[in-house]
Amino acid sequence: MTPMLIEALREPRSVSGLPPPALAVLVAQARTTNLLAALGHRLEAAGILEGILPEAGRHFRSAMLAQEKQQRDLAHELSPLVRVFDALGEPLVLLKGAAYIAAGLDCSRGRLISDLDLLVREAAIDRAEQALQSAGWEGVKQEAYDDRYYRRWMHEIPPLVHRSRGSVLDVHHTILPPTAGPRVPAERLFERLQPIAPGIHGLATEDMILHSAAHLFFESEFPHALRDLWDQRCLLLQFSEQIPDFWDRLAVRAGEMDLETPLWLSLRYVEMHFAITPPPDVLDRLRPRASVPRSMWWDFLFRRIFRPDHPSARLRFHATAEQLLFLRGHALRMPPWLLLPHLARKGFRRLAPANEGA
Amino acid sequence: MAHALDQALRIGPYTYRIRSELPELAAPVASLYGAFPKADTNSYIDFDVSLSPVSGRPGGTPRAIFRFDHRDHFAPVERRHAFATLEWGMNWCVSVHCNEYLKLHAGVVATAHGAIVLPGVPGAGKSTLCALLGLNGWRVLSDEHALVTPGTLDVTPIYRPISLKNESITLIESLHSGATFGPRIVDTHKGTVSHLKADQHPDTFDPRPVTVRAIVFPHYRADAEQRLARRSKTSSFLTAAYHAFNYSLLGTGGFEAMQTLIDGVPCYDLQYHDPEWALRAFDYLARGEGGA
Repeated sequence: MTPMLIEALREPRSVSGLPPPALAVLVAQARTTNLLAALGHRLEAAGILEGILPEAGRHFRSAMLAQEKQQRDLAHELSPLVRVFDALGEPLVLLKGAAYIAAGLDCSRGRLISDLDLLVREAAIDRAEQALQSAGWEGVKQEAYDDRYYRRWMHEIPPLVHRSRGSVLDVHHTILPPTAGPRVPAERLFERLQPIAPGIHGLATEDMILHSAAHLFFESEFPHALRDLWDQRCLLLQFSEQIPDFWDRLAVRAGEMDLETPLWLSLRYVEMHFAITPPPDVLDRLRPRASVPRSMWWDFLFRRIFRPDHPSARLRFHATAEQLLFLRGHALRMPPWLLLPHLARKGFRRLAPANEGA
Repeated sequence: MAHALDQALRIGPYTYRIRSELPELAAPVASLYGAFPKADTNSYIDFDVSLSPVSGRPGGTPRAIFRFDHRDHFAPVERRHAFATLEWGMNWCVSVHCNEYLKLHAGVVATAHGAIVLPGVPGAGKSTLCALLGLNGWRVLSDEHALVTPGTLDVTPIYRPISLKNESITLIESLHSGATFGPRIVDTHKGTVSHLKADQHPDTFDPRPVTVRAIVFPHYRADAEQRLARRSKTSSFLTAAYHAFNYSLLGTGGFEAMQTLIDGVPCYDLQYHDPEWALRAFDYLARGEGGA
């Protein structure tokens, strides 16, 4: 059975007839996936929120107010960053949630963010790190191993935390670790940056979608899997309505970026969960080799991970899927000669059976 | 696992479902929450909370964990702190959600003339005052959250047992030997904690909002002069905003809600150490002799 939350996101009117205990479960599913404010906006736009049971309505509105506060805080966070990057002579490039919010995209309605992700040219990353440190963002004290791991094998520097405001910056120089399978030419991302707000850039429209898809399907942990899939749904819907030849341009760009498989996976699960149907020929062009047998494996994993982590929605073998995805994410991003020593040091404790409790 | 405890209770404007496999929680919940209205099976559950044992090393200290929406939000605690953790967890549910109200970190008490809000940092004595007043005929609306509807002087009751700490427990026990307490829980991050049943007033479980009549900032000072003094609106506004959970979250709405509240009622500083004296000060305020 489709979880109530997915049903509600797809068809807000499905919420109208729900009895009070079911509405409470819907709110719990939405809160657990960080989608309570987003669903609130969706219900509001459909004219459902006004007439909803007041006990449920107050939780939606409450989450929407908290998210508005986060948007205001983001604006305060961005103005000093604009000054730092202006002085550096480098573009300030936001990724993911912060970019959607700064650009005012449809998917920013109710979108919560945890960190601020920036993209900086690899050649400028040392200078950017120094400039950010002078502006108050300090490296978090961590083990030398972790520091080396970030710098050598990941596509980012260790997170920076603002000394008074506590905001966290993740500074990347490309969108996937250099050791991952796809070879994403980072310099081509910079060729097509677009201004999204004064002094602020985002990736090109197609690159935004590809980045979010790559991120989603190369991850090893999925605290926001359904939220990220909802981002994909909203981005695809908005841009396919606004941009002529959108699907075609997206498929071409996926080829240039070596990201056909994550895009195909994203389109597959967006269609499965939110009934957004891309043109069949686009899907055919992106389709990975041996897609039929591999889909059985992917479906086993992702159909579980895209359900709210709540007893009302969880499928059997949810924990198994989480553990397999943890290994898969690492295996995809690192060759075995890097992965095994890294897991020996960091990862295996994550595979200990989770305490399921009550 | 079977639940030793599984109840849906109406607590102020919210419904909590409280579950636990820990048999030792049944008795304090029965004694402190026995009089609370129960929710029926068709109710909307606002906060689905539980306290569950967690497995640790064999022979290690038994531990338990608070969950909300079936998820961990805090590290496990020693099992002997389970009841206090349940109480803190239930407070937390309101503190981080519920932005339909301007929420002050404050005790709230009332007489037939209206409510008095007591904002204060931990240690200022707001719970002790709530306990004293509750055992002397006042109605306790909360010892933790003043839920103010923006644009009004309405405060919504959300009574729960009063959480007393350290010397306050002995003080209240010495003054009211018949008072009902939950278990005495020692060595918590706040020292010794015990919860007092303070629902004797007949209107305790009436969910309707009460009009705020005054704001009193309590200051417990063992060896200073006792006094009740008017406090300026400006400094009252700043201190109340400092003691609010969601003043800045609400943005301009928070500013306006606070302005309505502070403009609408007289504000006082209460410096006290003698319970009898403090009770007289509150009776004076209740009679409305402080003026608006």
